[in-house]
Amino acid sequence: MRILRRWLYLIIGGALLMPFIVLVTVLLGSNRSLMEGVVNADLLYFAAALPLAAVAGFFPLARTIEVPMARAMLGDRAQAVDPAGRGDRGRVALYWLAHVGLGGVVSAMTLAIPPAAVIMVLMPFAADLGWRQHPPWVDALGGFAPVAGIALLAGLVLAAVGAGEALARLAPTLLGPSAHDRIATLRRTAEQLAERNRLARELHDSVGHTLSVVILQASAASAVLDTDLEFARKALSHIEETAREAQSELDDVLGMLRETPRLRHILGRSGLQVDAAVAGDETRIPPQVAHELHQILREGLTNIIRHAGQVPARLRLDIRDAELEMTLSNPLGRGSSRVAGGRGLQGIRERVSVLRGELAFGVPDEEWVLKVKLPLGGPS
Amino acid sequence: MTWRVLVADDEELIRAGLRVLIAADPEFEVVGEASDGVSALSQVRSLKPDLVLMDVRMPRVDGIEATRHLLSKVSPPPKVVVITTFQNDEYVYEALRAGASGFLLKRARPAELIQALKLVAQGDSLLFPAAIRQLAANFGARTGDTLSARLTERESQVLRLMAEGLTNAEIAARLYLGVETVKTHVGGVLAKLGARDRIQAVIMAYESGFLRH
Repeated sequence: MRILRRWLYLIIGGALLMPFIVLVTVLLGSNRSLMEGVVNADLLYFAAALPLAAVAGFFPLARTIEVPMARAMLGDRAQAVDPAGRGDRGRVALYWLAHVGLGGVVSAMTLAIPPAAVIMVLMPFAADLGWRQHPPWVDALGGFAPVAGIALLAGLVLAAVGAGEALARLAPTLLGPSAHDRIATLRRTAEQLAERNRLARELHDSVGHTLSVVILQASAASAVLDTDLEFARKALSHIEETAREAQSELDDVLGMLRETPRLRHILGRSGLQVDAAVAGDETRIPPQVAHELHQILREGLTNIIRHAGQVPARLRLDIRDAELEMTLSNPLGRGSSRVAGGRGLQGIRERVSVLRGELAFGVPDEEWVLKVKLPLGGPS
Repeated sequence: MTWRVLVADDEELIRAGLRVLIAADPEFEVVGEASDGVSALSQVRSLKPDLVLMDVRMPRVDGIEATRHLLSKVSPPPKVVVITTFQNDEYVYEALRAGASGFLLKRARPAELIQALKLVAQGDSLLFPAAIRQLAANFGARTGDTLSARLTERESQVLRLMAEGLTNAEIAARLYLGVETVKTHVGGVLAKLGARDRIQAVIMAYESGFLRH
């Protein structure tokens, strides 16, 4: 099965080469003086199409096409290739070239060899079959024609298997992550680690600490219950208070776990310089509202980068009793004053309407302003 | 005679709980409380306790720094027992490196607490072999020190058994030696490594790679 999948992968490579073959055939083939004296035109077209195909391999699309296909069809080694990241353009182009080049050769062999081999194998019965004319190269083989036919078929299988194996070996190296990708992965891992450490510290300081207090107060109270009733009574009330606090802190930490990408985190990742001010208690925002708010903010920031570029932005978050209001504003970038449209804005509109909030945007005064009001009760 | 104890922790309720638990045993007397490292140091100087129960995370001067200071600047130094919420804590490891005689979890049962304090007061270390191995694996540095070259064959054997938490008597039984001989070997190990006590020696053994985690 793997052999067939790889074979098919090679034939797809040949198919990817076809447009370039057609192109050079039209360009070169139409020019008679150029093609004068050329014995094997097909080989020439093939050779001329390869550099063109290689150029196409430099486009990012090449990796987008190659990685999933290689993972699905080449098996084992190629499955290690991580589809995320951009890869190294030069190496991807080289792989693309190898795929379409080997694919072109194997495709041509796959088309040509089986019919030829059938003819060769049947040569001894040519008279019975009523074949009058045969190509001169078949005659030259004489009685060896069937053997040569079988050898050709074996050669085809060998070529397909060999080319498939070669691509499977090349894929992890050539399609793998570039230095840039590796750095990005490392940075992501470091960020996640920092976030986890922060949560661990949070748990350590809140729940761990208060439980220690509860344990020690309870142990002490039971040790002196008969001798110092006053201490025991106080200890019980401390335990009650401390446990209550611990639970509320646990609530906060769990909230953070569920909703890790908090405001600051999102602002930090956007790469924009954002002057942020929050009025009110952020922890009062219910998880689902917080989630949507974060998505809205993310889309808002993306819109700023897309339409105005790297401009300083301003964020105001006002958390009141029954609703929150978020205002995101930025100076207009050069040559951009689009007011409506955009997929980002559409996304924001949908999120706001799900939460039965209000959305307003526009350019009241040389500044693009996005204003979102969300009820704190969550969706009703 | 009673052992004089100082309790240092920034949380008043923890101090109060410890004070009551320790004072409930007739062998101990709580002579003072400190809410940070600075106050712990000054109280040690004025009250001269035999034992300090030291929280590792405290404001101003933390428990590690206070332990280091006490053991190098105060003469004779009190024994320091670190008290901690969590066992797997870098601060605990640092305090042990600094020379604390052991650590106690704040969730320890009162009987365990008293038993541990008695051991330390009598001059023993609270060496929890598994905990030290784990702490060294998580937070230990790699010194690359070649201990085996400096120790005799016997001393190496003794150090390995120390890391398993064995007492001198247990080591003696295991190696078919007299207790006095084992004491000499332990003394030799501590002197060669420049270790204050067994805990420091075992920590050094892990950090040098002499012992595997």
